[in-house]
Amino acid sequence: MTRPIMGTIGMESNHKNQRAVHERVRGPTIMGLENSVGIGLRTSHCERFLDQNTPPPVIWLEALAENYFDRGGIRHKMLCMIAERYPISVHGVALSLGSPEGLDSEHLDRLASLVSDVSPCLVSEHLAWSRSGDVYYNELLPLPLTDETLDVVCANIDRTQDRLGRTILVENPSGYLEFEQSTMSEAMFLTRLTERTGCGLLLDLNNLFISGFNLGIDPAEWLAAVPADVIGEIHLAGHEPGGTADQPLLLDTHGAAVTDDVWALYAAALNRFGPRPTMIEWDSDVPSLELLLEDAARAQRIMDRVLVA
Amino acid sequence: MTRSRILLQLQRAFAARLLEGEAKGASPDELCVDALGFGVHANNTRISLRRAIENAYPVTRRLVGTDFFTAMAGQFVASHPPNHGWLSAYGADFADFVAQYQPAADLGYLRDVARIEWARVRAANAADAPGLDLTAVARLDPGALDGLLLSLHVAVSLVYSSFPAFDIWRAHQHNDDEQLPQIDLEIGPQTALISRPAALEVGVALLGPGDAAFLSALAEHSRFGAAYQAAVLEEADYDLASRLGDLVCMRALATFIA
Repeated sequence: MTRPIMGTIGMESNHKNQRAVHERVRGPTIMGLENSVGIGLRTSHCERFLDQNTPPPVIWLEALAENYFDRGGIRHKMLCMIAERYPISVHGVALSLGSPEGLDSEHLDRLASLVSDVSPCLVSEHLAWSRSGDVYYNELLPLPLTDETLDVVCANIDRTQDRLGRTILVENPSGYLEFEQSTMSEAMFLTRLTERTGCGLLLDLNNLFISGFNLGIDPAEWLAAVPADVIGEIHLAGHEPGGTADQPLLLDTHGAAVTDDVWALYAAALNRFGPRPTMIEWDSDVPSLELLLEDAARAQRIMDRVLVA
Repeated sequence: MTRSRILLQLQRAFAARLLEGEAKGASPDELCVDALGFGVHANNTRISLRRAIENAYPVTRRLVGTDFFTAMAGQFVASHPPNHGWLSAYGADFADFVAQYQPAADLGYLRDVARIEWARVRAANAADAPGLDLTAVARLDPGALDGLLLSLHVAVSLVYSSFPAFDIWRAHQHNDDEQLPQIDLEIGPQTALISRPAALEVGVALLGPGDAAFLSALAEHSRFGAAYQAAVLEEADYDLASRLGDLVCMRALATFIA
C-alpha cells in the first residue's frame, strides 16, 4: 500500500516560472510523525515550549500560518525558537484556495518565507475562500462543488505547491449551507483535487461530523469514498450547538472538548486509513496545556490500539 | 478565467452581505442558500474581526467598557474590513476611526491611547534590526557628529498627545478599577516612546520634552546637530551624553552606516 504525501521535506523552493513536478512521496516520509499526536500551538502556551527544564511532552506542534506572517518580531522569533525543539506543522487559514481571482502574491510569498524559516513537516490549507476583491473576511467561506470550482482550486493549489516546492494538504470544511449549483459530493471533489494536483487531504473529523449533522453528509460514506493514501493528517476538535429550535446546527467553534461522537469517528477513520499524524485543535477559550495534552494522550491510545491490531 | 465568472459573481454577492448589520445580514436571494447557514458565516466574520480589534486595543476597551467598545469596534469592522489575510496588519486605522466616532467625542484622549496600543502591535511585529551602537558614535570624528544622520529604529513609534495619554494608558493595564489613580487631564501634553528594547519585549516609556524634541527631529530627518538644538530649545540643560545612553538602552535608534 502506498503511503502519503507529506511533501519533500527541506526541498528548496523552485523558481517561480519553473513548473515543479510534484510526486507523492512513497513510503513513510514524515520523520516518525505518522504515528503520533500533536497539538495546536497557541500564544498563551508558547513560553512553556521554551522551558529548558520541563519541556511539555508532545511530539509535534501545529502553528497557524498567518499568526507568523511578520518576518521578524516577537511571535516569529518565538516560533523559530520552538521550531528548533519541536517539529512544526504550518496550517494556513486565509490563502483562499477557492478564489477565482487567483491567489494574493504577497500572501503566498509570506507563507513561503514562513515555510523556509521553520522547515515544517506538514503544510496545510482549507477548501474555502476568504477574500473577495481586496477585502479579507477572516472566515472559511463555502464553495459550490462544481467543475468550475474544481478548476479554480486546482489552479491555486498548483501555484501554491510550485511556490513552496512541496505538496500541501487540503482540509475538508465544516458545512453550514449547500449550493444548489453543486454537482458532486465533497468526497468526490476532494478526491479529484488530489488526483489533479498531487495534494493530500487533512481530514478534520470534527468538520466531517458537523457537515454530517448540518448537511446530511454521511461520515461513513465519506470515509469509504476517499482513497486511504491521500489522507496525510487528521484534526480533532470540539463543536457546540447553535442554530434554532426548528433548525439546530452544530458550530465549529474550536472552543470545546472533542466530543464522544468525534472520538468514535476517529477510531473508525484510523481503522479505515491506518494511523495518521493527528492534531488536537483548540483555538478559542484555550484551556490549560495539560488538558490539551490529556486529549492528545487519549488520541495516542486510540492510535496505538490500531497499530497493534 | 472566463470559465470561473459564475463563481466570481457568486462570491461577490455572498461577500457583499457578510458585514452588514445583524438585522440586514440575510442571505442574498440570488444565491438560494440557507439563511441560517449564511448567518453563521456572517456572524463568524463579524465576531472574529471584532475580536482582532479587541485583542489589539485592550486598554481602549477598558476605558470605554465592553458594550461601548463592542458597538464601536463593530462599526469599525463593517466600514474598515481588512485588506490582508494576516491580522497583525489589521486595525491600523482604528485610532483615527475612534477620533471621529461621535459617541466618543468627549473622550479626546481616546484616540491617543489607541495610537499607543497600535504602536505596541507594530513594535512587537517589526522586523528584527540592530540598534545603535554607542561605540560606533564615539569612534566618529567629532567634526562629523553634527552632520550625522541617525534614524529611529524600525520598531519605534513616537506618540504625541495633547493629553496625558501615557499616564492614562499606564493606569489601565489591569481590569482592577479600584486601583485607578486620579489622572489630571490638564497636566498637559505627553510624548510616549514605543520600542522593542529586547528581542522578546515591547517597551512604552514617557519621554521628557528634550528627548521628545530630539527624537521627533530625527524622525523628520534632521541631522544630529540640529536635533540636539531642537532638544535644547525644549530643555535648556539637555544632557545629550547621558540621554543618548538611555535612548540606546530603549533601542530607540537604528544603527547607521558611517
